[in-house]
Amino acid sequence: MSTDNKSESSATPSTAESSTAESSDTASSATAQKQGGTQTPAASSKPATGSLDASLSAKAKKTKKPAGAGTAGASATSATTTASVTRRNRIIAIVALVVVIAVVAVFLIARRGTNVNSGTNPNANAAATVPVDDAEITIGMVLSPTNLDIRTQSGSSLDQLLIGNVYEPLVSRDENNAVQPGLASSWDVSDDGTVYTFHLNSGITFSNGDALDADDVAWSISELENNQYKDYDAIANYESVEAVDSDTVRLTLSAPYSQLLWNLTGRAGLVFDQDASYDAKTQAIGSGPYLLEKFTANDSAQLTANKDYWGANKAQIGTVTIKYYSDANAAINAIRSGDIQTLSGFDYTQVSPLKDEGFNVEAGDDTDKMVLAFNNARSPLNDIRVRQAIRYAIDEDDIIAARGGVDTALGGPIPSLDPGYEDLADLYPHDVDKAKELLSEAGYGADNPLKITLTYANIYSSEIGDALTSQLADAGIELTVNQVEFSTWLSDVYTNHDYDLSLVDHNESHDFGQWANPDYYYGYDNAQVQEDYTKALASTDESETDSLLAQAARQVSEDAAADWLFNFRVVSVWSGKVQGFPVNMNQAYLPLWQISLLQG
Amino acid sequence: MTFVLKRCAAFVVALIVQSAAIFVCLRILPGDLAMVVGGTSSTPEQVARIRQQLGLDQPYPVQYWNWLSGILHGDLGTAQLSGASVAGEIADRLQVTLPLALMGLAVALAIGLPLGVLSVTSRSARVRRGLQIAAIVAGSIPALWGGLLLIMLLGRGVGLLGVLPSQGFPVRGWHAFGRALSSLALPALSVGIIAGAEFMRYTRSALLEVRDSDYLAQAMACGMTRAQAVRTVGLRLAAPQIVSVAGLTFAGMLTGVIVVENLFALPGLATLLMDDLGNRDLLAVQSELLVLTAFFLFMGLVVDLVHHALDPRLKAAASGGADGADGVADGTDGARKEGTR
Repeated sequence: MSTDNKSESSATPSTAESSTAESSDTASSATAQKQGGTQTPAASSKPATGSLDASLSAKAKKTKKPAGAGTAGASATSATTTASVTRRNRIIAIVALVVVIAVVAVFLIARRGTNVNSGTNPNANAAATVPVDDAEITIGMVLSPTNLDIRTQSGSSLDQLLIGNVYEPLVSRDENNAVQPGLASSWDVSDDGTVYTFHLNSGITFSNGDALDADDVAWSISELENNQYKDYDAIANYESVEAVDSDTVRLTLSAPYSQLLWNLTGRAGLVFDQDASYDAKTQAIGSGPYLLEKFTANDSAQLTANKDYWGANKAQIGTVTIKYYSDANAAINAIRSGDIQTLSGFDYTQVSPLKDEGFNVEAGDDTDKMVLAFNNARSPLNDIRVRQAIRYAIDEDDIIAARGGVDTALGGPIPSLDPGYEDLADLYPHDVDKAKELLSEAGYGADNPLKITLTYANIYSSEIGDALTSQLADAGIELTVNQVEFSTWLSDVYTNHDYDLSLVDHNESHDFGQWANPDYYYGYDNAQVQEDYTKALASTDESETDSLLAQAARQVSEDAAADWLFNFRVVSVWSGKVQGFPVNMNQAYLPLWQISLLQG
Repeated sequence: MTFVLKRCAAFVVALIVQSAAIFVCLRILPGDLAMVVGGTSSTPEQVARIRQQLGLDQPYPVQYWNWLSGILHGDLGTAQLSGASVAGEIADRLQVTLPLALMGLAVALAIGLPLGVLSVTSRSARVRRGLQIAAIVAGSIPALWGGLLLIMLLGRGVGLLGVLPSQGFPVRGWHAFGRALSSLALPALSVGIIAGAEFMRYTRSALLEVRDSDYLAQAMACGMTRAQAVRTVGLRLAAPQIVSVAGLTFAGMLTGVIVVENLFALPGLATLLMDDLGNRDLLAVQSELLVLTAFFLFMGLVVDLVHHALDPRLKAAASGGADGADGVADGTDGARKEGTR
């Protein structure tokens, strides 16, 4: 879920945040002053008063005794004093000079240091391919995980970092979001769709040397379900899991569940070492082609190739560093100066200048849906005419164009990479007259305009809010934009459902279930959609599942349960040396083993 | 000696009061860590479960006491989100923030002291006026804007003279010493120049105060020029005030580099604080804030003690029964007033 993480790397201080920081800051300085101030002022360090003054001037007299001798013999003595003063000045001047030289020298050394570094860069001018051990790459990303506990902590950036790299799932997925063999080389599904038998590859080992066998798989899944870890509900209708023999696992459901295999490509399918004990928040031990060396939240993660990797997805680059940037300028400067070799996750308009500087800039397909959520359960958006009016009033193409034109129109809750996709972009075309008509039917007009508030997290750009404000104003809707901190959003909007409109990039794949859950923050409750969705999940026929999902999605869109502004496509930038960088869905799944470095 | 003890006792009391204030203020924020961990696909039951696991469902007095008793045992606690020890995280981040503040202070002193002296001693009225205007202008630059200007001027890849890394900090930290040092150069300049301008004004006003005093008259009577007298005797007289300002500037830099660290994408203390606050890892935030507060108070303490060492008059006053810190506090205030006038 990208939204979880965006908060983590949020760079923009919200008003709430900064005011707290500030207030405690001023509080502390106030105390500091108070401490000084509680003592009643008696003597000030201003010179001139009483005995203090006397003691010091006495000292001055002592050091320059001859001066007191009167004007007669003063000329000679004052000459020597002047001489000593100028000498001292000279010393001061010399010291100052040394300091200045030292400062300059430090800068020069620093500069040289960096030059030397770039000069000795092994990639600079060697030929042929880089041996795995020498190959190094730094990958720029936006969202950082906060910790490594993939069983508890939400956030797609954690999936991005660990799944397929450090931890491996039972089955994996390809760049088109289709299920592929993973730890399991094959699987059988019983005719009634309730028993899944997975056949594991042989010779799988964890990076600590332990063997990965069916026991570990069964243990991982039963732990997930018993402790209700993150995504435990991705194995719906779970009944039991058992290791039949050392390389066969049997997963039994109480009823068929059509999404199971895809769900096992994610967190629900990850296999952990039941014999290893480590702090899952700060360490990660898995069976993948990479080892996690070091992780600093909101800064960087360093991975090294697992030399004893069991499978075919061997690492081609010895050391991979993922560096997280919250600021686009910092990231763009870093790729320009060669500090990083790839960069993903910033808006196209921000990175498009790099296209003319010899970098590859490409947008990948993704499952991110920029959802303008409506509070379907609360007035005034519980009125379908109001919701429809808003959908007619919004010009999605205009918003997409303003973002550089790489995103695609969506029109409904299911993106093209997910099952049940259907192009619904034309369901509510941009039609201001129709919007006004619907609004007047609903009882709003020029003298009684519809006034609503858009509450969204400050991790998203304010431009979208501005664009929506002006578009809705054309239809006579007064929109107030309220950008808040993500944690505030989680509390007010997500948990307490206290909002009219909101804006979230829902980036999970296969997440249509949101629309079948009336308790979700959309407050959307349609029995037909819920029934279709339940049927789609229970079906053992893939095409039937797809058509049921498509039908439900169309219903959701027709009900104007939300407006889908666009299907966000993640833009990646990489330098010419980088080969095989995954472009599609790389915010949630980034198989590092596919990347290699060319020379020259 | 009693002064030192009194001062230390006040330090402890202030710290405990601060801890309560920090704890209460943070609890006013909407949202909590459990929601952040749960994200946008968790059910209320899952969030409640996480909240219970994190101990966030305990009553506030219990939470406060648990935290405070940990602190009293010298344990800053464990960040609930990252699972790392708060003390370790702070130490990690200080590796960036402390050198940054020190370098910033060095820049500030290097600019502020000589120019401050010059703005008093220069014979040319134009130079004096020019320096004064420069101090006011430079001192009122917002750090964000000043930093951006510096990047555009000196930043590699974007600047006119692309000589210094514009943003970020090497992943290998101080193991890449040259790079680490150079990546702190621009941030240190942007805090240093602004602080240096203020510093210059403090120096100037402190020197102006003593310029017409008898000490300088005395020194001049011994044959020094006014400039020499200001530099040798005047600076020494103004030293306590300058030390106060330097100490507080340094403390202010450690606590106030949020904008600069964000702008230059440095993994420092301020960014840690902002991230933890955004994630509502309040246990970590309150420990971090307390450490910063303690540091700020500690700098105040150090400044006071240094005054005693620097200004023999205070010792005399203290032994004479008067409380020595009074003069210090008053002197600092005086300098501040002068500076802001």
